[in-house]
Amino acid sequence: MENSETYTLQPRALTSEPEFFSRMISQISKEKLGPEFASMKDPIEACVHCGFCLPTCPTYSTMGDEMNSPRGRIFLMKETLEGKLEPEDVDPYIDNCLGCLACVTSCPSGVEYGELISPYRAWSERTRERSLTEKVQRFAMLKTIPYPDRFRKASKLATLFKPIGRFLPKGMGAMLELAPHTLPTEQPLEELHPARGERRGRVALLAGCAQQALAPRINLAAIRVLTRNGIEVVVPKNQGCCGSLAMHIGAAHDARKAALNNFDAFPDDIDAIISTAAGCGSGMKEYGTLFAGEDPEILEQAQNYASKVIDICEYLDQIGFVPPEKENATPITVAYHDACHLAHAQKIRSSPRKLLQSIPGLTLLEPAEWEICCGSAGSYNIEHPDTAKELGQRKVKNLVATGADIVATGNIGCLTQIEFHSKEQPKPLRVVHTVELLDQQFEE
Amino acid sequence: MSDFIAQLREIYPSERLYEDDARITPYVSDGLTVFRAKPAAVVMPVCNDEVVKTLALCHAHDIPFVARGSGTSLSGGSMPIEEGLVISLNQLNQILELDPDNRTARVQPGVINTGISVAAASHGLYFAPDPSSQTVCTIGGNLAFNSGGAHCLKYGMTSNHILGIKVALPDGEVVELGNDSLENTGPDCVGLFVGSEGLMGIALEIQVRLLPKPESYRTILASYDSLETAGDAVATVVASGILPGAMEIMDALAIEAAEAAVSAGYPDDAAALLLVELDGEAAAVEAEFAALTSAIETTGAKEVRAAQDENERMLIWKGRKSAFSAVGRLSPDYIVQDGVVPRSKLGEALKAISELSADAGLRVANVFHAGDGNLHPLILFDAKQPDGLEKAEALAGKILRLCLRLGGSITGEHGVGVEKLKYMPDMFSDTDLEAFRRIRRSIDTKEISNRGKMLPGKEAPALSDLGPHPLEKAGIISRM
Amino acid sequence: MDSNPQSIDALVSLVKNASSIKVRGSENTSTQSSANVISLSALNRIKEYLPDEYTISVEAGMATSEVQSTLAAKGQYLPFDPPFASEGTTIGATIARGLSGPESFRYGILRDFILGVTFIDGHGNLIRAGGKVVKNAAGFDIPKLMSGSCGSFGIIAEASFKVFPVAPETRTLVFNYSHFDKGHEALVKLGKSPFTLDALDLSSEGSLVIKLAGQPGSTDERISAIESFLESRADANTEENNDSIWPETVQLHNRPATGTLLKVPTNPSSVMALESALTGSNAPRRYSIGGYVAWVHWSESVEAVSSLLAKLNLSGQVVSGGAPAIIIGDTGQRPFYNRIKSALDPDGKFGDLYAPTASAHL
Repeated sequence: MENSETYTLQPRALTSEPEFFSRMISQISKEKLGPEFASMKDPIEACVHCGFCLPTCPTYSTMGDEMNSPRGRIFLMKETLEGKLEPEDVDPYIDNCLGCLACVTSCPSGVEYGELISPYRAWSERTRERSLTEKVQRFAMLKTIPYPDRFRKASKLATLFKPIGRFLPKGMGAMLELAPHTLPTEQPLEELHPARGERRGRVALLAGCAQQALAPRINLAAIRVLTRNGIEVVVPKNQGCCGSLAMHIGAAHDARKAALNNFDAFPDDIDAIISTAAGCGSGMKEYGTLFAGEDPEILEQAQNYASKVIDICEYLDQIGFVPPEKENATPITVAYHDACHLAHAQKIRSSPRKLLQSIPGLTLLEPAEWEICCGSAGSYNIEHPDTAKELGQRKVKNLVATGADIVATGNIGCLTQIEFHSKEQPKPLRVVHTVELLDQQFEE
Repeated sequence: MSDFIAQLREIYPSERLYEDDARITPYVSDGLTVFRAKPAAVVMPVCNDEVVKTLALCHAHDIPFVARGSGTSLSGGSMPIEEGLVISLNQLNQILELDPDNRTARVQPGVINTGISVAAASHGLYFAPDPSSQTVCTIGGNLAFNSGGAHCLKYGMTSNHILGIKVALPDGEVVELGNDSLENTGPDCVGLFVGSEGLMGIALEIQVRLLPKPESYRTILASYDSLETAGDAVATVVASGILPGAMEIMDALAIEAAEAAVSAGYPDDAAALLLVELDGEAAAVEAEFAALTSAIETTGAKEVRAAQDENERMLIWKGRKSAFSAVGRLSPDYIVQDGVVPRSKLGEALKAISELSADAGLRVANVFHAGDGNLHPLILFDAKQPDGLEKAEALAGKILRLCLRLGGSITGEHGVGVEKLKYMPDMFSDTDLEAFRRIRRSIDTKEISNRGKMLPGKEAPALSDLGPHPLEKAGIISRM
Repeated sequence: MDSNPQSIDALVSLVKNASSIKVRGSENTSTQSSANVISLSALNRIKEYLPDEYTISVEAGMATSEVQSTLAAKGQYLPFDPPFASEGTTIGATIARGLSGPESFRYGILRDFILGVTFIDGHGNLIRAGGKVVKNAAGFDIPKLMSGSCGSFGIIAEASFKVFPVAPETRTLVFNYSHFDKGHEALVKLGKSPFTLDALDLSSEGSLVIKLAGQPGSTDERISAIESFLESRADANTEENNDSIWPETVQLHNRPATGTLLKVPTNPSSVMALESALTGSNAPRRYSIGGYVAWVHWSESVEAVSSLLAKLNLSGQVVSGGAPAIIIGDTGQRPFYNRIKSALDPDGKFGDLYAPTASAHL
């Protein structure tokens, strides 16, 4: 029974009945927060303030101050939810969070930070006054990135505006800087891809939005690898963005709208919903939290959908991926970059490595500081270009230090970010999705 | 105060001087969240000169200050002083010099403990002190509290690995203690400064000793049917004449928590686990391993396992080092104690603790440095019960007094901080404490450096009975 | 006649009433007798020895050699290897002068093994600090402060130590090098290596002396590993704890009867600089504890060696013989020392390490 209303956090006075707390126990009431935000209470109260999250937090490791650390943010969110601090005073430090969830991996006490930060952002967004520039920027992001067609058009437009980028507000400038000069040719995906050989399963593929515009080769590779392993692949026609990008910046309404569309677009007679982008996969797995407090029927639908979501590597590992026999294996060294939304959010670290190591002649290399974010983090490199740049350069340095021929990763955001920041290297890094290397094995 | 703040603004730009609630709030407590106190401001110096100027200013205005690293103290050692200043040393985080031939490194106080070993690794060297929070805690904090760790048994505490310190005294005078040698002339002032809990000013530069990385390790896990048997096994191993690098014990609750946190692969049916690690030259370690195995055979272990490779070894340690925080999974409210007992009385102490725990109706998890007799009972309680914390504190007090009765100490490595202040008179006479105070005042006439920690300062007397903390009574600190 | 207090209480009242007081550090040596010299020979008991606990508490007047034989009977030893034991030095004097021997290379020097002290400060207060258990973080670490204080903060009455088991097998190796430089090179190389040596000393002639210890049967293999690491065979390899080699390394056994014995903290790099500066002088000297201390016997003017050390940023401590001050050469620690001195001995009953007065511990 939650009865936290009765606790006071006042200094102990000798005359009053004392109440003490050793953890981050809070005055927050789940009832008051309502079902949509009730999940925030548990992570706050589970934190014991031990600080084990500090070294792997990308903002703490670059900025070095408590309010930019996970335990500091938890404290700030707690105080704000209790009404002791004003949301607008705290927002800058919450905004700085990349949502990489490295803190969840390093937390011995099991604090589910992800279940706090996303709802908190949505909670504070409700009353937040944003500047015009911010509004334009967020609008531009939410209305272009999730839509491949618009994204293409916007990219072309951005190319035109690149020369004036430095005269624009920082975030807009970053958007232009990061926008690709050229995009690959559009490659629409067929709706049905039959299994090759004996059919072992049937899955639906989330095509993704930005990824499909930036690197359509990834989904093509995934489809080839799946079908050659006896899996029938459906690419639902009416699918759209999964809403993860919106969810992670607190735009819960946009996120739910996107998700609802996909609930309808995806068929039921499938074993799994495959994601080839870590950010999308982790977002979709969180649908239960996103729809908490909604109509029970919709909530059930969301939970059902989320339970089917699986990352491509996780799935291939489960069905027992076998690369084709090859006579002359070419030796190759690959550094694996852990995407935060795969490693931290979905706790997937071993399956991509296992898959890569099954490739004959491949030597897997591990970069230093695997747990620290590359700075891409959804739209972070647009909203916080300075930190994102510092993190990007740090990541590239660690990857280059491995001396690997190729970098493999499981997320389009990381892929773009690392490629972008390695441009200044004498030998820019070649970054691919893990599934592309698997796909190559089937090439003649 | 406003004059003081105005002068701080002349030293620090606003992005390194926090005066607003949003930036101050995350600093109100450290690893001991039972207590919190709100400072007037937080500053983040980036050079020695700023530190020195800040101390001189504090001295002139009689403003108490606390130096802070990663804020992982379990005794409230880096808790702020109400209306005082927090000097955050996190930006002073450079390894200034690494000298492999002399096996030393000169570092700034904000360097993370493991950062030194990482930097020294390419020379085959490492920094031996390994508190469980070593991936987080700073060397400045280790120094102030003479941090221990699992390997103290053989290698000693932080103090044994600090050779020299450049110190800014609380009035701003900068002095040099020690040197860059293992030996010293005159009194061991470095030894006095280390573990002085921040009462003697701020270490600006620290000369640490590095050791060659052991060639080989052997780590074994032995499981027992009772905690007491495991405790007695420690005495057997110690008496056998082998000197392990580390000897640790975890009880069933701690095993459960650590297993949930990191899946360390510990046996799940054990009432207690004894972890023993040997290190050194391969040939020597193998010979010791044989002797250790035969010693363990006589202790009635249910199962004995040896780590098969470095990964298994690291996993065993990861579980052990996560245990404190992992206990948060069993009960988010707990107090960690740090008493020491003579090693031959471990079994007796553990039995007494379990009896006290049963009497109090509170669960106690045990995970500790058995080789040193350094207990870490984690008293689990429910803060939502009106007398939850009081009951837990009463039990903690009984355990500490038990340690003293058995001839031990109230703290092995976490320090006195604010948390054990009231037990100091149980361990030291008035004459002893007065000598401590005289030493303190010779260094810090105004008693501004980390006021209210280790020694009851001029603002509040220590109480020897249970009840509200003296600072709490004075309204200086409050609980979360 | 020396005063010879029979109890700690008697010692306390002696200190309270004295204006100046000195403690005899050895009963064997004949130091000049005067009114203010006291002997602690009556305070010579073992207060508590718990072999299972690996700790021992003794009174300060006990001869170090007696402490050692008590421990040896139970297969234990003081790992900081107190030197000058054969000269009758008391354990109190060993602490006061901060003396450690060659074997402290393995596990640490005196400061690393002293757990607790009871002492009488200049106010005549009997103060107890530290503890008897092997680990303790409560209160200021005064036991460490007392090590090397030469009694200038107070008179040590009792002390507790952590002790270790004696390894069943011990070997001593000698490698003779043609030049000091070569020996020094080997010293640096070995120091950085993972070999766990009990002692590592270098003579000014370039002989490297090594001790290693371990479980029975394990040392032969380790010796061959060391020989191949150094790419040469040991010139001597003895199984016994060879007294003819070891005590000499710190006590400079054959030193002249007059002159001053100095302890100079060094490190492997400054050993090279010091040896260059001393080349040409006929001062007997040894580099011990893996190059972290130099023992120098100086027969000429102490002022000369003081300025030689100061030039090298080295500090020296006079261990025996006359000198204008106990600490010579670099005196960087003095400002801090003065503050502590004002707290514990404001009236200067015990002498000042940096001033031209004799030390409290003879």
